[in-house]
Amino acid sequence: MSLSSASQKNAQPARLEPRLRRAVTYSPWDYVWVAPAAAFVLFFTFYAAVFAVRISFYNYSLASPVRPFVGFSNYIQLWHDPDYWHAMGLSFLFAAVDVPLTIFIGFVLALMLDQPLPGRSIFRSVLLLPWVISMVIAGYMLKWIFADSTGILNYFLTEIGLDRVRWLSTGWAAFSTVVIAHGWKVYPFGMVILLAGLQGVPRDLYEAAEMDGANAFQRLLTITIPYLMPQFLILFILRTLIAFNMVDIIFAMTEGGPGNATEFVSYFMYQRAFGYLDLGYATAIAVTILLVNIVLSLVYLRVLRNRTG
Amino acid sequence: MHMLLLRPSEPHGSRHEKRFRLAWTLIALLVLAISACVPAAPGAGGEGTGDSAAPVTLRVQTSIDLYAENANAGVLAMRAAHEKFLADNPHITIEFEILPAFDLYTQYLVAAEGANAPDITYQGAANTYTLARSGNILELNSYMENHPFLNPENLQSAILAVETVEGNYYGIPTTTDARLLYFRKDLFAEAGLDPEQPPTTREELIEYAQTLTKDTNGDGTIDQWGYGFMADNTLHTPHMWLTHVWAGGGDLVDAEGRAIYDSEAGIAAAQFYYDLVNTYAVSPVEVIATDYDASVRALVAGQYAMAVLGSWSWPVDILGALSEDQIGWARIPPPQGGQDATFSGGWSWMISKQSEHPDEAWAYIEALNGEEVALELGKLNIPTRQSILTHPDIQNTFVAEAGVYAAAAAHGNPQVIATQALFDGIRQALQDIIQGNADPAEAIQKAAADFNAQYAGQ
Amino acid sequence: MGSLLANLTRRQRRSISNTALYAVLTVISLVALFPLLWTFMTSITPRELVYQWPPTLVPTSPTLAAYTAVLQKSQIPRNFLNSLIVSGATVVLSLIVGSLAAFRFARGRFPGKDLILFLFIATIMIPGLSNIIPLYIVMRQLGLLNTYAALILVYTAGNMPLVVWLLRGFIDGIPLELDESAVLDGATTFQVFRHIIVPLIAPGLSAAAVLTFVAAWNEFLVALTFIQSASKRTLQPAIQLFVGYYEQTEWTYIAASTLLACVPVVILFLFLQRALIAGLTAGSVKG
Repeated sequence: MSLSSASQKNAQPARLEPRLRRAVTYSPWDYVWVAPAAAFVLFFTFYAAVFAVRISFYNYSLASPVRPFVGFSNYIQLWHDPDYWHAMGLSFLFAAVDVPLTIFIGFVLALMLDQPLPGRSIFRSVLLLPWVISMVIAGYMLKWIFADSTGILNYFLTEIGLDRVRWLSTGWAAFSTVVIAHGWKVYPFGMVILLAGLQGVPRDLYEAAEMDGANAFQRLLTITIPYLMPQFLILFILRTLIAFNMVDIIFAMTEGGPGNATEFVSYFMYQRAFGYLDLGYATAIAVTILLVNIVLSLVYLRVLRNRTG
Repeated sequence: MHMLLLRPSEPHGSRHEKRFRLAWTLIALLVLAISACVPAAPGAGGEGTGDSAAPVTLRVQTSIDLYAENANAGVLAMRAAHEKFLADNPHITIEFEILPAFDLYTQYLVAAEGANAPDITYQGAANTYTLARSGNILELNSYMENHPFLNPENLQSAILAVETVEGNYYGIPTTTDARLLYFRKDLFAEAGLDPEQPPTTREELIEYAQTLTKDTNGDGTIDQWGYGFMADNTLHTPHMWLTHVWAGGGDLVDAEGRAIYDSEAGIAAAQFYYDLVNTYAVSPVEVIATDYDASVRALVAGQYAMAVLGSWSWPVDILGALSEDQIGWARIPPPQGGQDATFSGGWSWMISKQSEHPDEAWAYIEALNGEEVALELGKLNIPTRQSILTHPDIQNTFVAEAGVYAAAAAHGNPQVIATQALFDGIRQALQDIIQGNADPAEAIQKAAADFNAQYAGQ
Repeated sequence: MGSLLANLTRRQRRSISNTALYAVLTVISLVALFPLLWTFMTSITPRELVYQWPPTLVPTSPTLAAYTAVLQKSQIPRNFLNSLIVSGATVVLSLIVGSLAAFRFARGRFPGKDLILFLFIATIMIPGLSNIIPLYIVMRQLGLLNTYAALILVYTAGNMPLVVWLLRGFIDGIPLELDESAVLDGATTFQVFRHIIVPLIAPGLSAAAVLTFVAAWNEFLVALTFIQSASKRTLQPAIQLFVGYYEQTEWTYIAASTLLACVPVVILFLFLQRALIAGLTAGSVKG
């Protein structure tokens, strides 16, 4: 997301006279072209977000018509709320597991599907399929499959002589189940992005490296991965955002339980907003999630940007 | 979009442009095929003609689908009443907004916040107090008082207590319920227990459950558990646990809205749950991920020999699968020296304060809650009205007997605004206790203290 | 092993590794497909046998009863149509508005461009959940609650950063000289857009269309909240109606309607899979 480099890239060798270049690139009408899109974002995203931030300074409960201004009290309460820290920690843990895992799976699949294999487009289509179900419905269906005593998965396990796993009634297993379910649902996006990225790697680089005696693994490390850095960067950022904002699948599968083993900060916020109706508190949580998203994105930008050089 | 996408001049995109066109053509065909199946919306139409009254549209938010494929007798009676109402009031149109039961509360409050509340909403008893205190629903005193059938005096006491907030009435309940102990007579007999003598105390319950917990096929894992109970992530968990707190003489909140379930009775009830799974091993730890539906099935399939479940499951879900020789119901056994206690909820019709047509809304609620409907619903679950309880068709039936139990032993939802927070804390603590991750006393005390620190008095 | 491989010709080695690759991909595909296969098996199981234990992998007496029930006795066909209308309109609107903006973000040099673009794309970081109540209030003020427009507008706004970012990257890859020669020939900015840019970014537009369509098609919470009437409800919240709280969850209906809901997206993927990959390739995903 190098937003500033875009304009520099356009600065191609000045072959034409500057007057003409100006005619192509400078126009006050540009604002009009951008206006509709900007209006959408301003009106439906920024306005709502500013509204939400404002709510976070009020004791704003849906259950009460009286909503006094309370300054930073929601944030102070948040600071002292162990459940919040637990939920935030759980989300960090989830992101730390889920983000690299799904990107890694997507990358491996992309590498395989990039091979000149007859019929690979069938595999490409099939492996994209988890993308087509909505998160909530996937959550319900996966809960049905993972169900402790009536699920087909445990039936398989017992059939092959293993013990049942209490997928949804033990804390760590429920956490892992969410990781598996979410990973299953989201890996195709990474796969597609990386597969698309692989098309852009110049083939002659591989041939040159092969002639230099580099084996497949070395070629992967020295050519493929550096070339895919932009894709990795985008995926890391988007995946992290999704990991910190994931509600649907929790809502359908575990509702934060057992105990609070899957009460991620996103679900914690959802509960506070729509269960406890404490919108002021919930929006304060949302603001902290936003901050985490921004900080993590900046960290990724810095780390991966430096890597690419 | 076609204009944008299908430029013929584009060199390397032409191939997938064809695919793109094909895809949209297929989707268009699909749309046609599907729209051919689109049924005419039921209840639509019925233009009011020749009536002097101005047309009124009532938006009704409910989880009851009057036109559901598998509608029971109660819903069918309601449907008849609905159609009669429409025929009698041609100027009124009813628009249903059907949602799953667990979405109704949130969706109503969001709509009310956006000044777009439906005229009528259908809400669980757990939320009556919060809705009333939020100022979002209309008090029904003037409509209910002196009404021949829907008057407050005719209501069962437990549900009346729930519908009354600060002396005003807010909801017209369709049914009420009680939590009951169900027991498998056939499995009792198999285990050498008297099938006509269900346990009457908590101690007996544990003793019987130990006898009933078995590995029937000898594969080394238990497949018949003595006792099943609700401990999943839903409100069923706190609801059913509370019966044990009340039975021991404890309570949920005090008059100031402070959590007091960390009393001796509450800790004993938490210890009871811990013991069932960990000490006596008569209940599977999977109860914390077994939803209501699955629990009923476990009872019917004989995986649970006894279970505490809702009265609404008896007439259809249980007796539909088992005979009365195979299963029976009893009062939830209190601890020795304790008292009978059960939990009673229910669902009620309410009118939004934002409704511009409260009189018409009331007329509709009145029509939908007539005696015929109440009688049909009353055969399926405990009737809310005294006059239905004593109706000849009801007397001496299951619902009448369960109704007597409810009248004597039922407690309703607490009158605190932060009900959800209260129940959530209990649910989390119980799940930790059942898994053996937390000491029962400590976990219950911590949950109550956390609630009091953040939500007490609200 | 190494010497064995060395003795083989390149083609032989290729075919061995292809076979291995096929095997691995088949196993992975089966695992990835399993939840959908099981959904299918559930959908053709008779309703009363859904909870049968031990379960049978393939139902002994398969039936299409769930499909018949869902298609003829429920509102699902209506919901399906609504979802198509909403998602289709979202795609059209997002692509038109997004490509106009992306064009000038790529080519223009107006003051504040980088800042506007940054803010634009940064909106993907805002947690969508907390925006629901403010958006609800906005929609009520606009009189759009319980209309398709409410969903279309919210989805378009939500997709805007992705569409603009994708298409801007795409346009960046088109040589500026093309624009310049068109301007030399007397073309207006709009003509440049219409006749040069749009045809050249067709793959990007297809990719953006797929991403937007899938996102709109699968959205749940906004659709649940902003649409009240059964006749206007979209598919995902409608499917959720089969989930029981006091009574039995209708698994066969959920399964059948879930698979029906997949059909348009599967069609899109089958036909546009190559276009999607091509569209995301051509310089669009860039740092």
